[in-house]
Amino acid sequence: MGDISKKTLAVLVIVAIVLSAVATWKVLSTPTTVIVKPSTAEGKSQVSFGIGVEPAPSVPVEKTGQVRFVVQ
Amino acid sequence: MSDISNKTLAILVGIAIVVSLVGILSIGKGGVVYITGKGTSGQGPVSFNATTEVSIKVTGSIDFGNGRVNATANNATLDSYDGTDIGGTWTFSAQSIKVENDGTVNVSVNLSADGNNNANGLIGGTSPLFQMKGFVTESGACVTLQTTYANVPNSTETPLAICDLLQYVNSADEFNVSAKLVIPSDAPAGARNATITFSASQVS
Repeated sequence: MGDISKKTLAVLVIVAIVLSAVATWKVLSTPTTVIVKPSTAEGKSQVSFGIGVEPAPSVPVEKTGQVRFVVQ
Repeated sequence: MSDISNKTLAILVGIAIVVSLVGILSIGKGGVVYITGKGTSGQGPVSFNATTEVSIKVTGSIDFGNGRVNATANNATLDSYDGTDIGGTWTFSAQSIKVENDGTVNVSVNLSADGNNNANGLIGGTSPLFQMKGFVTESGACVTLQTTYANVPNSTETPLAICDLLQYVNSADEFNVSAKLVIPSDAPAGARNATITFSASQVS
């Protein structure tokens, strides 16, 4: 097979340029659609709550009062 | 480097055309996809310590003042609950000592006098009495309150259980204590002062 002529090559280049132009035009002219896909899983937050109660000291607590009188 | 042939260039241009076609056909309608964040789960432990406290507050005192047993009586009976004196010359108003649970747990309350200050030690003479009792000031504060007069022990005797369970909730956490004395005519003259110790211990 012999070499391709420059004419054929030129046609191919022109075709490539046209295709590139068409592709560029198509991309720029197509409106962008924003698709929001919500998550299907629910968010979960868990908090474990613990209370530690220290026992009261076993030593009794003492307070005082007064009883007074005078025998004459 | 030798020059590239037209045939090679044609092949390269053909590849470029094919790639462009594939790209154009694969673009589709175009769009940007945003995916919202997926919730994650986690655990955060929160803890604290609550310290229980045994505490009581004792306020007030009982002062019968000065007096003597009437000459015609064997003894005088003084009661701070209603401020009465029978057989003596003491004059005083109704008085009491308030005992309040200001802690965070239920408590039992006992009482005793200091030193040797039971009836014999504090008053002396023949058949003296030194007694105390509790009376209700907040309903339900004390499960079993000693509401009749009972002898006050000294510091070495078994304390008097005045209340077996005094609650700590503010609406029902206190009671009052009054004192009764029977002073015989042969009791020694002089000033008397007894310190009453109220002891609180935690109960369930």
